Amino acid sequence: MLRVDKSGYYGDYGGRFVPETLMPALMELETAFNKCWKDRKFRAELDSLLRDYSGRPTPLYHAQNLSSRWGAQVFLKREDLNHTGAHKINNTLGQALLAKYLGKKRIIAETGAGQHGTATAAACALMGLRCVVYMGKIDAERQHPNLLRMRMLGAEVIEIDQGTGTLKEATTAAIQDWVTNVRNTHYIIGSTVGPHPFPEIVRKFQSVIGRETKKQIKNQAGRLPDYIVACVGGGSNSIGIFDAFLKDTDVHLIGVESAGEGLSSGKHAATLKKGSPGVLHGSLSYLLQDRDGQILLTETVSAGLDYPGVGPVHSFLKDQQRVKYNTVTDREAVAAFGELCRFEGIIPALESSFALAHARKISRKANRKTIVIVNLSGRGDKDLESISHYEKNRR
Amino acid sequence: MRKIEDKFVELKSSGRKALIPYLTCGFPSHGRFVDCAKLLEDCGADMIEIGIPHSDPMADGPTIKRTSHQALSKGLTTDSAFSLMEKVAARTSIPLIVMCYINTVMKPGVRKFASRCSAAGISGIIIPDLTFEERHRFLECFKNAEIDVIFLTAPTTPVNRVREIAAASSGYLYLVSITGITGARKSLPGSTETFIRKAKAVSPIPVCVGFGISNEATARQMGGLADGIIVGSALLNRIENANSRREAFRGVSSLMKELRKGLDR
Repeated sequence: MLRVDKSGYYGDYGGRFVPETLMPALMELETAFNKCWKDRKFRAELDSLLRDYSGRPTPLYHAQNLSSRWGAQVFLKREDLNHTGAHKINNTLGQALLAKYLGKKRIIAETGAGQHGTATAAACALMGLRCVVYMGKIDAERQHPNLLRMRMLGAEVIEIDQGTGTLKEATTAAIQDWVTNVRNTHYIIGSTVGPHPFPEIVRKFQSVIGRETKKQIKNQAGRLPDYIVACVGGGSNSIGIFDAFLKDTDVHLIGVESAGEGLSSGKHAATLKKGSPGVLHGSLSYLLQDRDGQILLTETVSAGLDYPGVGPVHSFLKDQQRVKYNTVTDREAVAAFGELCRFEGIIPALESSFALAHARKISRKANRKTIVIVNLSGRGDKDLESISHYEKNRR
Repeated sequence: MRKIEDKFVELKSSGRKALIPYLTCGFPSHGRFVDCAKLLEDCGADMIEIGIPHSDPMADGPTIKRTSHQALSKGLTTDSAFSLMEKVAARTSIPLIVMCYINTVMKPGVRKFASRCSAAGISGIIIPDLTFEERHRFLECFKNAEIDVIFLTAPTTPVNRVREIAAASSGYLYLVSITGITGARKSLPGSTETFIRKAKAVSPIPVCVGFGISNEATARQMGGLADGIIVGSALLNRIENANSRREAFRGVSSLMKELRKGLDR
């Protein structure tokens, strides 16, 4: 049901809206990716890296304490147990291999929460590639541990002190670097956003999450789940886990955006809920914009969800009504974060806590037999300061 | 209707190259923007590009980013941009070309945007993030409104693709001088000259070069081969750095004189 057409569209969404300078590189990338994805040797190399370097398959964990508190059977797909602490490495290992295939020696990336930047830095260190990461200044402050990790791994981190100093500005800066250095540089985009073929590349590299989950839940529960819940910023972890279940129409797929301080406050990042179609960062998708098409500011405690755009594949799945997109406030997410820490001994990423908070709502209304899988996309060591800062401000 | 094509015929018969300055609409203020546009015509501009500011200008460097954000923060909207352009059209007689990002065009609807352009007296449009591949739903609307769509080509564009893009383009073909974003540069690489020659060989319409041209030397280097040059950031820098209206106008005229000199020899 999910196919990207020749021009890079999922239904009405996607495409390529970039300066002409990048077009030849995008076409070259598309050809190279299609070839590599079908190439047994490439896939075997990637699989062995995912297994031996990153630690896949990641566990699907039956969280019994949460289950008895919340009512339904809650399973966590433990992407937080990946090397570098999030699902991002699935994509960066794949794209770094692709860069080697393309003969590009320099890698650039944008990062919000710093998880994608860290995963890119690690993949580059492993494969001997030069790595430059763009990060908004506000994000560099609120996700400081990741800034240090990237530098430790040998990446050059450039802080962007423009606009809101978050993921949007970092992405623009990365695209502009790519326009300037496209001949020797590959851009490892971190989410299922950007011009074609990036959304498709990221979707394919992240689809390993859903393939594993499907096998694991069949083994553990003997059936498919009733719900799969994942947070949506750009939408890479969510499409990663949804992808294998798109045809299983009995499985409710739910994407969760940040409602920030509340949808009516105007301070949120609920792109699919509150946005309208338009072009940002190279593709046509839902985005938060005013009546003139100027991009609106977003605000949420979670750096990884703080983005006014979303992957075109999600816009398509929203219109098709195959995936439902809901929102959770910062406050609800922080509460769910606390519950997972105290009752399961797992510190989740703030981003993943939005999915958890929504899973909690579903579980409360469901019966004991209902199976809810949450994609625990990352771990939360990076967020400890943000959380205490958030709680201090609320007091 | 002032046609870009007619302007090039006129230039060719007098053996001159086109000087196309760029202004950010509404910068540094609504009134001064209109006055600057008039001044540019008086200083020998053959056409004027007018940029409608966008919050996230992907192809633009620091200068145009700054001027755009300043204009937006002073409340410029698409509506007020069109009324300013109408004022410019009323006070000048050279072709005016809109430069704006695709989302600005799509938000009100392509057809509506195109008819607003033509109602405002605009002759052509440049959309830096409209790729040749995405042209279909846009070209016809602008063609119906008698607006030339000017496509961009870059040093990375293979020559066969330059040929295709030039065939789809009307008015002129916009050559991006370097791989990069807009912004004044002191010099441009020799490879740009090779690129211009290649593009000229396959383009049925005039070829103009932009990005980085900032002074007499770069104007002479590019103008020697191309049919015209586009100058944005260097001009905006003069306006931005001036302490008064008079100083801004003096800065603009002296740069225009310098560029004209480089171009006309």
